[in-house]
Amino acid sequence: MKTTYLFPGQGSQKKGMGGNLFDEFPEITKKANDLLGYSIKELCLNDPDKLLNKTQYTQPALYVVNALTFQKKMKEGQKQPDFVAGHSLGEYSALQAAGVMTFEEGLKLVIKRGELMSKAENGGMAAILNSSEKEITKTLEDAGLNDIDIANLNSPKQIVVSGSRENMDKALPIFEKANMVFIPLNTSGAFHSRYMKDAGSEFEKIVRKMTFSKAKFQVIANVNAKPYRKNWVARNLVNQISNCVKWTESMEYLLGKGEMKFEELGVGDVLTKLQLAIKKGYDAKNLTEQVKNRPAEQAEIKESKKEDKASKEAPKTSVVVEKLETTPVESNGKGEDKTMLDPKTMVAQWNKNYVVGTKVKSDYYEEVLETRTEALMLFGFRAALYVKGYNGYFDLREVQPISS
Amino acid sequence: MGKKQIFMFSGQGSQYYQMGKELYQNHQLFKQSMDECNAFVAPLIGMSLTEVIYNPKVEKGAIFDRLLYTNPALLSIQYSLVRVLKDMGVYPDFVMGYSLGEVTAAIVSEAISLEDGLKLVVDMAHLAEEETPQARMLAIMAEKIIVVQNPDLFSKCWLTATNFTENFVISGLPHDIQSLQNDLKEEGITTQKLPVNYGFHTPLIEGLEHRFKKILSEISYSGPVIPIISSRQNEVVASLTDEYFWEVIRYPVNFQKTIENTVKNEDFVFIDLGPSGSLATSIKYILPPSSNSVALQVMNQYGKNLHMLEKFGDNLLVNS
Repeated sequence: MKTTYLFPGQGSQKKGMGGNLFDEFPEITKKANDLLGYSIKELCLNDPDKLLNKTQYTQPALYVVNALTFQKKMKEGQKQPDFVAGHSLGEYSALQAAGVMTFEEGLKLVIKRGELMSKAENGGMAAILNSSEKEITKTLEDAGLNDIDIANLNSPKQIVVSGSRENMDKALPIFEKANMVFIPLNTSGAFHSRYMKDAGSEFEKIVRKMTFSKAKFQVIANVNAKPYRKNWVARNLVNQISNCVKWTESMEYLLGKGEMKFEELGVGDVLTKLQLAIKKGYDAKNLTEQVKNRPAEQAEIKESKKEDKASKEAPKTSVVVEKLETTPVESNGKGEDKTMLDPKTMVAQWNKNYVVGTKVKSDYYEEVLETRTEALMLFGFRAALYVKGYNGYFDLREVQPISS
Repeated sequence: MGKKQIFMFSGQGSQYYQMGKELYQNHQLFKQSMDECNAFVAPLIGMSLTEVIYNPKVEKGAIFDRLLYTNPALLSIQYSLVRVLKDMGVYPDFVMGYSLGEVTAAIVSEAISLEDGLKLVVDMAHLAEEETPQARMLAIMAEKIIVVQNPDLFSKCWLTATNFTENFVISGLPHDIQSLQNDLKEEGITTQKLPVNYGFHTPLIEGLEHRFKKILSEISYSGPVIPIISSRQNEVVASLTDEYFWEVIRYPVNFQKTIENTVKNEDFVFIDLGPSGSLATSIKYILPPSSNSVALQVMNQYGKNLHMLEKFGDNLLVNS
């Protein structure tokens, strides 16, 4: 079993973070105070001036807390991880943990980075759910919104885009029309997009002056989802500011390394949740890949899973094998557990097996109901049908055919 | 002296039974105005609107959520309150509506007639009931970044409104909003279901677009006499159109951005004519510490309408 430590970035900050660690590691805390010119403990624990959510304060604060939690792990006698990765700002913590830069060097860079990023304005960011990179790119292209960039590939179904404020306002109706959930965030900068290039160039002046050491364990880079090489450090860190955080691919790279234990340091559990979501997609892809090799069931799977061509030749981990044993892939066309299937498949299977007028029971109604339509897809994700005597539709997962 | 005054009108969700009851019983002009609205609305909804709002048999705290009644009720209450304020000598320099409140704003600005506005909100209720699925709205007391931090929770819901940094509204189908509420509770995030049962501001109401636009096409618009600040476009709108009203109910409200834009170069007195005072409360969270703008309520859900009205008059004198 290998271990990966994950370090969170902006968004995970929370008043109270760091707790006793500032007192437990007074030397590191003092170094931070000296460089920052204010008390990091006061900022993280009490935040009296409401600064913790301001980028120029958030970034150093998270960096320090990430570093302290790593120190704590080492002090407790934990063995070093095999891999580290950090989301956006968290990547500095990963590099620092791996000894690529000292605590002070990293903090100096992070202070500058926070300052530069806090100056970004006239931009916006939005989370897009229920979609894929390909679909988003195509939607942007078709709409001519060609200055919106993909900023974070956080999980297979959660992607963040960045762009000019003007075009971000135009984007919402377009994405909703294409059946995606588009939620604008409260940011004024278009982080991880082309609009950060100037900030990147400014940052480059500082980062190029520094020399970096060899990593003690592998650090996975946001920009390319690959392990850092020594002479990549400056380039990666500059590019990271104006490029996409390839988090899904980074986690998939690590999942491909065999049995892996992920542990999130710092504060919160955002990366743990993302990792679980990514693993779910990753396992499903591998499962499909394995089943596809069983000729008898090939046709069935092809029909139900359109996106399986995206599968990669990742090695099968023991986790995947275990999954295969506990969740048998149904092959008789009648889903015993409908919640396992995607809505499209649910609709197709229902219509294959049941006609209009089928008697059904619903979890929420006492009486026997009768369908008045075929199953259909609503809003792009909802498998539903209509029932006699009721105007509203019924979720397909909530009706069971009564066997005659 | 000299700060300009903005009349604000709240939307669905801010209603409750017995709203404005003390005024209805004691303030002649308010009662007269409510009765006038009622005379027009009653035939459209098949019963007396004032009897619904002031039904003495309704228990305190009962949920008032039938759109067919709440839509015209909110409009009538806020329109009548405008008449009360004007009678006190308080006039708007601008009007601003939040969602459904945009119809009231349009009436007060004189861009559309009271009758057209009342009919429109009643029709809107009929269409929602006939053409769109039941839905729920959930106000979430947290920053929108939680959408990114909880990868799967929000994937079946839509952003409906941004009120202020730590308050936004999400809508979805009842089942999905229920699980979202449960999941957020587990995350320690406070939420509150709003008394609105249809998915306004999201794709869930697209079913009514066709008929709604047809109804809109029968409305005659004039140029607003009092300028309208739109919480859809986040700035002053020159004129109203059918497409504008469709966008108002179909796309999310960004109240925060509207207020931020409005106070960028000037201080205002924001006057919330909604029955809950919720817009004034939101504004207090939005205004930067350096701002000299103020937000005043005229009414809230704790009754004592006459006392509140008097207090409002005093506050206005101090703050304008």
